[in-house]
This record gives sequence, structure tokens and C-alpha cells, in this order.
Amino acid sequence: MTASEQLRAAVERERMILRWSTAVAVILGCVGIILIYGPIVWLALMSISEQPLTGKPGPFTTIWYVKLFTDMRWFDPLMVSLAIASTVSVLCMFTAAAIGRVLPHVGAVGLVILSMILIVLFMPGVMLGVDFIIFYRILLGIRTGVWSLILAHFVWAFPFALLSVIIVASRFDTRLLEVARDLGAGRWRCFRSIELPLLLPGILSAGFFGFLLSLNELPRSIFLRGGITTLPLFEWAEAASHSTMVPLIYGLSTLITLGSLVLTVLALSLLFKRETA
Amino acid sequence: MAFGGAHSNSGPILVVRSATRRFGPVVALENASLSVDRREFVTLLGPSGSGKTTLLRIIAGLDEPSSIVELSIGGADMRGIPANHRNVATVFQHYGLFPHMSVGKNIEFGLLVRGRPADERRRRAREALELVRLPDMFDRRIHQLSGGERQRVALARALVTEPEILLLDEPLGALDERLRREMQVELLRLQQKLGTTFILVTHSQEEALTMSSRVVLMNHGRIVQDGRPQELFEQPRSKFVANFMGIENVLVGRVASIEARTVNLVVNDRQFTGQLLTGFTPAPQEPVFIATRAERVDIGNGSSSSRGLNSIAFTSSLSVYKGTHYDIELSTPLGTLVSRQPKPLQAQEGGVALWSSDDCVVGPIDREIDLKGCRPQGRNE
Amino acid sequence: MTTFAGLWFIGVILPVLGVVVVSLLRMTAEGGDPALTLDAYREILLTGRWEVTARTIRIAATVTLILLVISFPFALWLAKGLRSTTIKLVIWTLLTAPFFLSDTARVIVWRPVLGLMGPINSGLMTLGFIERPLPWLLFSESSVHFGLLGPFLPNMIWPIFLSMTLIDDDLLEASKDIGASPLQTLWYVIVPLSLPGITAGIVFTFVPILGDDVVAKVLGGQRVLMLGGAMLDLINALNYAVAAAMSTLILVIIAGLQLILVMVLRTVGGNGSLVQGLKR
Repeated sequence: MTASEQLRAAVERERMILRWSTAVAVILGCVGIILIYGPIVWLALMSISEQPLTGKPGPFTTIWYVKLFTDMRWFDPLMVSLAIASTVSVLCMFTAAAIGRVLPHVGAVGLVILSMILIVLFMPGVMLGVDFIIFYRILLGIRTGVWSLILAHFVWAFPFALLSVIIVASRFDTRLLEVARDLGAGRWRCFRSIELPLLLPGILSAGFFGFLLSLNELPRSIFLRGGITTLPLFEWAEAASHSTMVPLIYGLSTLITLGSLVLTVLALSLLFKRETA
Repeated sequence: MAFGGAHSNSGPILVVRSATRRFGPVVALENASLSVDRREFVTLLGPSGSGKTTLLRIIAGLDEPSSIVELSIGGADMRGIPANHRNVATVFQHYGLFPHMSVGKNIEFGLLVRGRPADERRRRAREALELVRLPDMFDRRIHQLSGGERQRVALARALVTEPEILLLDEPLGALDERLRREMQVELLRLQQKLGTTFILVTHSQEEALTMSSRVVLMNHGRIVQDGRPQELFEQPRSKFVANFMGIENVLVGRVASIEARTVNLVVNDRQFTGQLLTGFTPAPQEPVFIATRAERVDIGNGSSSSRGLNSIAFTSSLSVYKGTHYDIELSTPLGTLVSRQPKPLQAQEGGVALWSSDDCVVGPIDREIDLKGCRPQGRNE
Repeated sequence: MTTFAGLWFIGVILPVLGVVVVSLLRMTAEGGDPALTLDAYREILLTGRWEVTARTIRIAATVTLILLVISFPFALWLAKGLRSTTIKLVIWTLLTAPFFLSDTARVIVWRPVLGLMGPINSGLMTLGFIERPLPWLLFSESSVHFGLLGPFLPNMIWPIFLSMTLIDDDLLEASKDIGASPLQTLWYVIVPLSLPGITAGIVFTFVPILGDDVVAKVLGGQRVLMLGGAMLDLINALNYAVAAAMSTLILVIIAGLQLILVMVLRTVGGNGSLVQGLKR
């Protein structure tokens, strides 16, 4: 082969490798998406099947959704979860807003505090659950209850809420505030008219994430429930005991899942929307 | 790793014929042809959007032309061969230095991917650092370097692979004035020492004049003029070239009559005479430009007038100090003309601007003269 | 803000540290006996608890590895191979959103599907591939592995994708220009620069899997005991010292993992770009 032919052969080989690697990557991606969404789609399918416990999508029916309204044992846990989730969400929004707007500008101290907050992401739920219950219940003697659930959910959700605000706050140009101050605006005015609107996407996402993470939280709640039953705990108990409620759980979960998905997409789009102003 | 190039030792090192590049409806490059000999220092000059960077990237292999007739480097056909298989290296405007590698490792990289052994890599990298006058920087991290130092590291990295052609994409753009001048001289010195063919892209005509033996001026994706810097400066082939090269006095008029290579033209009822550009034969009444450099314009009082001299009266002047001379801006009925003088002029004094018809050129407005200087484009090709 | 930091420290960090102390105490059902002892740890080793821990680590590591293999090429393609930004955003949202969903229901669906009478076994039998239903599809380690893949894929791919997106395209072009083949660019440029994201993905996946008990219980049944279940049993049995000890053990393992990863990062080269990547 001449040198030129060798060259072309090498180039062609390179192209083939690239093409095959891309194919493998895309296939793996499809596998991943199926792994994630397969169960969700299947869950939805099962929730409208007559014989969900057989695992086969049977004749389609809405009977399980109808039964949701006759057997209402799920109602109380749902209400509890919604209440806790809302509280956590509001807590997250305010705290994340207060801290998130300051943190990018505080330098080294800010980094320390940030790492202290983010470190909980590296602790498994059960570990935090055990730690909290030993500390609060055993060492301090405080009985667990709603407050402990709220605390646990807040600790779990807060890093995400904070990150949401920080992402948006780091894009924020503090010079805008200087200009406003220059023009004569007071501090509250500055915050309300300039900072708040710009930070709002981050704060709202923080609220959404707080709500969702609390609503669907399970591992920490197991230890800190203190007699309270949240919806995930309810589903968990029913599922583990193979009870007859399971088909109803399918329907319920499908609804919650769909709602959560919508909220998540909303929150993510809020976070990453590029301002074109 | 197979590399193309270095086949023949004679003949041009680069031949591009009819390269076109479209981005959707936008034509970034249109039928550009270029031939570069070994050891040349060529500059692709032009305003933004002129296609010069596009052409450079096509030579580098970073961009595929929409259509091209020939692209050979060192005699070998490079069409369809990607950048990593061409023996051509680029110094980017952004430098493209790897932040996770030290200076030395950055420079070694080209040799690493060619499979050279470690000791050879280190030796040649150190030599390259000596070449760009950064001998002690081997273990420094990239973020510790200043802009000028980074640029030299990028240069060393490209040169260590001993490419047949070194491409430079506005390498001096990010440097301050003084550094830029220093680097211009450096690049010139390097090129002459190594003998590598350099192709530089810039929008600064001053830079082009300083460094290269050959300037390729581009506009709107087409090559407008290709020649030695003096040619572009003294024999601009179109009004665009005249303006871009910084010729201060460019007027537009119509052809009145032609005698041999001298043409009489009329600008707003005034008569002027100038030299026709080689290869340019205007039609009667054709709109043309007449261009004169400021150095060639003299100032006289109203009394003197002689044959063969173009003249126009001015009513007031503004003398601008330029350090080594004064640029005198003269307000004439045809607009502002500039004359270069050693001493300033009294502002309110009137006078006459004079220049010889031998010192100005006349060229076409709406079309370009063929590069080889033979026939105007569009006529019996 | 300092008040918050203080509260956070007392309310969150302190319990974790305090538990380490607790694990070293001798405890009974009534209260604590302030004598330092390693009894709790000894008990872990003697009873089957160490085995549970080891099994959990093994499963977590395997699943993390599988997820890494799935995520890395796809994240790369998504970040650098795909031109259209809208498709990119859509796919990325698809991959990230399920992170916020509840585990339970998604895992429960698998039980009937993988069961002896489930569609997979029936299907395989009808097609003639097997004669009797496969027992290991459910309540085995394989099913636990399998069930862990879906819920934790977002954890792995998110940081990897992010760090790859941050890699400047100019650098990849410079690498190509200087002569590197796509594979060489991948190995010498892309991998080192995305290493912060890769390590973040590994930690972010491995650690939560350690703490998982949903999948293990549902798909593993009684045969596959993992950490989460063991911890719950201990607390219910009021065996706080041992629970504390196990928690401390997990902490040590995680800290060890962090150390290893930090050292890996160091050797590849520390500098501005990597630090920037870590900050984000």
C-alpha cells in the first residue's frame, strides 16, 4: 500500500471506531432510560389492569382507581405527607433564599458552611436516621413525632434547595444592587424589586424540590416516624405485607408519580432557563 | 499514527483550489484558491466575516469545505483527511492549553500522541521552550502563566511536532500593544530560523505588513488581492483594498479619457489624472476610484500650478500630531484629504493640495481585477 | 446566617459525631454506662452483622460499577456528541427527574413480574427457552442488583454529564489539531477533566445504595439481608450501641472512599480547572 492509501485506511478505521462507539453509547443510554422508566410505565399499566398481582397486563379497567374512593385508608397518610411536605417546602424556600443569596459572596467561610451542608448528601438515609434517633431520642430523651419527620426531611432536602438558589444567585450581578442603591432605593426595596424577581426561579425550584423530596422520602422516615404514618411509609408497609391493598397502591403511586414528574420538569426548567434579557 | 505530507521536496507546500464553505444560506468562503511555497510567511488579512478563519480551518482540517477542487499539503491529497492526520499545527486565538497538564506536558502532548518515547519527548519539549524563550517554565501550571507566556507555550506546543505548515489564528489579538510588537518580531525571527511555512490570520493590516512576505486580502468570503505587501499598498486592485490598506485619500469618479496607461477622470466636475492599475481597462464613463497616499500629497499656496499635477483647493485644515510627523486633514469640496507633513499648518489658512499623477492609481469600483493581473474578471475566461 | 450554621452544626453534625461516641459506650436497654469499650464492634463481627455489611458493600460496589459503565459513554455522547440542545435538554431532564420520585412503588412492580408465575417466566417457557420457571429471578442477589439499577442511575449520570458539559470544546479541537485520535483525546483530555464529576457520581451512587433497604426487602426477601434492614432490626431491638457502631462503620467506609477518590484526583493533576469543576 502506498503511504496515501495507508493514511486513508487509518482514517477510515478511526471513523468506524467512532461510529461504533457512538452506537454503543446510545444503546446503553436507551438501556438506562428503559431501566428508569420501564417500571414507571409498567406501574401505570398495572394500575389499569384487572389482575395486577399476576404481573401480566390484563384486561384494562379503571376499577382500582374507583376503589381508591371506597377504601380510603390511604387518605390520612396522604394528608400527613402533603402537610409535612408543604411545611418542609416553605422552610426550604425561606432558608435557602436567606442563605443562598449571601453564600457566594462570603468567601472561605461560605465554603466551609457549604461543605458542612452538602456533607449530608454523602450519608445514607439509614445512617442519618439511626444517628438522629440515637441522638435525639436516646441521648436527649425527646420523643419523636411530626417535628422529627420535618427535621429529617428538611435536612435531606435542604442541600438541593440551597444548590438551586446558589445556581441562580451565582449568575446574579451584584452591581445591579449598587446601581439601585445609587439611584436612591432603600434596602428592602432593593431586595423586593431587584433581587427577588431574579432569584425567584431558584427559590421556587428550591420549594419544589423540598416538596418532592419530602413527599417521597422513606429511609429516614422509617426511623423517625414517631407513630406518624406518611404516604411512603404507608405504601411501604402495605407492600411489604403483601396485602390486598397493593393494587390500590399501584393506582395511588401512579398518580403521585405523574404529579411528581410534572413538578420536577417544572422545577428543572425554572432552574435552567436562560435569561435572554 | 499515519500522517500525510512531506512527499515531495519541490513544488508548493500548500495548494487550495476553489474552496467553498456554506453555513446554511450564508456563504463564508467562495471559490477561494491559494498556493503557498515552502518557507513563505503568508498572512490572510481581512475584516471579520471575510472568510479568512474559515479558510485557515479548512487547511487545518478542523472544518470540511462544502465543495473543493483540490487541497494538497506537501503534494499529498488531504481532502477528507481530518485534522489529527495532517502534518499541520494551529496556534489558536484562545491558545487551547490543557489546564490539567503542566507546561512541559502540554508541549509534549503532540509527541505523546505520536508515540515518541518519554526521554525524547522531554528533550524536544525543553528545546521548544528554549526556542520561545521560556526555558524555566517546564513544570509550571497553565493558570500561573500570563497571556503572553501562554501564547508562547501554545507556539512551542505546535512547533515541537515539526509541522509542515504552522497556522496562526489571530494569535496576537489578546495581547497588549507592547507585547504584540514584541511577539511580531519574535514570530518573524522564529519563522526565518526554522524555515517552517507560516500562515497567519489577522484583521490588522499593520500586523500583516510587519510580518509577512505575502498578503492575501479577503472580503465577503472571496480573495480580493494576493501579493507582496508593497503591491497591496501601492497597487490596490479595488476600492476595498485601497480603503482597507489604509490609503488615506480615495475619491470616486468617472472615466473621461484614456491615453496609454494614464486616465483622465472627472470627480464632481473636477479633472484628475492617474495611473491605471495593471490589467485594468475601464469602459468609457465607468465609475472608478483614484487613490493617493498621504505622503504623496503636497501643500502649496494658490499660485503655483503645473501640468501633470492634480490639485484641489482647501479652505481649512486640522493638524494631527503623530509623533514622527503630522497628518494634516484638509477640508476640500470633495471631502477630507490627508497630507503627511513634517510641520503643522495654520488652521485657518487656505491652500492647495497637490499630487503628481504618477503617484496615484485608478482602479475599478464594482468589480475586481484578476489576480494574475491579466484580464478583468468576467471577460473571456 | 451564622445562627443557621450554628443550628445546623448542633442539629445535624453533632448527632453524627455523637453516635461515634455512643458506639464506644457500653449500653443497656435502660441507659448508658460511661465506660469506653469496643463491645459493640465485637458483637458486629461475631454475629452475622459484619457479613451483612460486607454483602451490602459488595452489592453497592457492583451496582455502582455497572451504572458507571452504562452512564459514562452515554453522558459523553450527550455532552459532546449531540448537536441539538433541545434534544439534549429533554433527554437530560428525562434522566434526572426520576431522582425525586418515590422508590417503593417502582420497585414493587417488579415483584409479580419476576415471580415464578410472572410474565417473564411464562414467556420464556412458552417460547421454549426453559422448562421450569427460573427461581433466581426474584428473591436473589441478582434481583436486588437489578432492582437497584433504575432508581440510582440518575445519581450516577447527573454529575458525570455536568462535568463533561463544562469541558471547553476548544480544548478538544486543540487536541485533535495537534494530532490526537478521538480515543487519545478521550483518554488524555476528557477523562482527566471530567474526573471530578466521575468521582462525584461514584460517591453519590455508592453511598445511597449502602443505605437502601427498600429494594433489598422487596426483591431480596429474607435471603438477601442488607444494611438498612439490619439497622432497623437493631433499633427495634433497642440495641443502640451496636446500631451506633454500624453507623460509625459506615461513616468510616465512606470517609475511606472519599480519601481514595481525593488521592486519585490529586495524581491526575490539581489545578484551577479541576477546582472549578469541584466547586460546581
